[in-house]
Amino acid sequence: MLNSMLRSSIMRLAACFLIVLAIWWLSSGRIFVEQIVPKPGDVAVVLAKLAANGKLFWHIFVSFKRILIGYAFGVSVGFSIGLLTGVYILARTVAYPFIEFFRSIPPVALIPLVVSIFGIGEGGKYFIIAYAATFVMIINTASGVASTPAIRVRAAQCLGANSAAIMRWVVIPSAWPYVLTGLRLALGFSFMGVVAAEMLGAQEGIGFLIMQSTNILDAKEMFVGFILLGTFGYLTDQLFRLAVSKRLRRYMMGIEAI
Amino acid sequence: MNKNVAIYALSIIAFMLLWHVMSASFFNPVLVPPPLKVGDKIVEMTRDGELLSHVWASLYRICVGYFWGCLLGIAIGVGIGLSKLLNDFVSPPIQFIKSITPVAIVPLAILAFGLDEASKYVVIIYGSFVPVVLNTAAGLASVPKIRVRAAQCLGAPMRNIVRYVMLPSAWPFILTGLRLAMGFSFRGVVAAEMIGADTGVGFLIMQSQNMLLPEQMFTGLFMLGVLGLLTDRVFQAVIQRVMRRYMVLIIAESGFKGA
Repeated sequence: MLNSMLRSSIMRLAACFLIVLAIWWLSSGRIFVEQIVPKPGDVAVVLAKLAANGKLFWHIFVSFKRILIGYAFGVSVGFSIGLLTGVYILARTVAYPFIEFFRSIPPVALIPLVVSIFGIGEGGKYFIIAYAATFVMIINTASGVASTPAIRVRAAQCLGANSAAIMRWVVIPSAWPYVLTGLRLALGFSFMGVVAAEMLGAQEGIGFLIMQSTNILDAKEMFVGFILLGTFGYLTDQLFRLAVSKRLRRYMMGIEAI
Repeated sequence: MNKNVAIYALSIIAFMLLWHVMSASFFNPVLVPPPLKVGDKIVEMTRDGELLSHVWASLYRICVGYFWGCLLGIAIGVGIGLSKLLNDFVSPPIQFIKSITPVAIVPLAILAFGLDEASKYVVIIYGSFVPVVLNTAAGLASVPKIRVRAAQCLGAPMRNIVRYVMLPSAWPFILTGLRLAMGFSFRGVVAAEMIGADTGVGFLIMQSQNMLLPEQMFTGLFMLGVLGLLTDRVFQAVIQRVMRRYMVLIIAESGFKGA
């Protein structure tokens, strides 16, 4: 039963893949010029060539390194600020306008400023990715903390727990599903941030593959970049969901955003 | 409320002071100008109308692209929610492009549509389409079966079930999608304007880097913050009005508001 379900869903996925490929193949050279939308075969050749000379893995490695470091910074800062603003009303009142304001500034817009401050080194790229990841983490952590049922906190207080213990054993576990959602969404935003970070002054990376195509007027490498971005973004998100659903079975929450 | 306003004012003043001090000591004041200079620049650019024309250019692009992107997203999202076949064949590609940010679409849009307005619209349509279609589909998928069955038992035709049962049930999801889409539109339009445009807030920021006008760059960033904040506020207000009847449960359950 399970086996046949799995098989039929794989069949459907394969059929879907073939249809997309067919539409892509037919539209290239007919609706769009081949310089703009290259044929899937040509993209596959470029992909294979990049894989053969090892450059592909280098681009992937560089982008992943940036994503991981930026993400780690972004979510640590986001988690701390989220806890602080979730627990203390004063901290929330002070920080909230700034969080809302800076959240509205897209990471791409900061690139010129970041380049002028950090130069075109790695630091600026980590900053952009951290910036992209941090706000969703702040907001999710804070709302997780704020939605801790009051009765749990009061119960712990009645039992004589001090505020550190309440934090550690009541508030954070209650906020956990929100925190994990924040972590997952932040990872998605990091994948978006890396493209922005590599828009200016990068010499390698998946975002670089995409961005340089306008300069060399050849979209094949851009499509390779799209494929990498889509594939890895999807895979990491699914892995995250899997890990979360294993750990979070007792909360059974389904928060769908993007 | 009055106390909050006082705290806001104090924290903003503190931030400005910090910025002022940092700009002179920690950063190079040529790269990070002090707040007063930026304020002057904002006033100056507002006076001669330049700021408004750039803001208007960006907003106009967002309005057009956002409208079509959301329309398309809701239509296809409803299609996915209703038809198993469409779900099987349209969902996987959308899951795939989900990680491809609007920023990454900019070079393709410019290659395909040149530096005209069309390329910006495409980026914004793409950016708003993705979250709307995902959330609409998720919303329709989460409609309680019992509601649909109840309507069916009462003899409602499919058209009415969609109109009176499924869409209202999915509404919170769709609104979330619309709100996220606004953020993505901003991201997309700024990137598109930075790479290829001669108007818009993104252009303003990019031009100021090339011409070393840091005050102008901060003006652009400030405008982005203000615009994003305002549109998000409007959205939240609308959501709260529309969603009041959905919110009852959520409000009733949240307790720990920090004492």
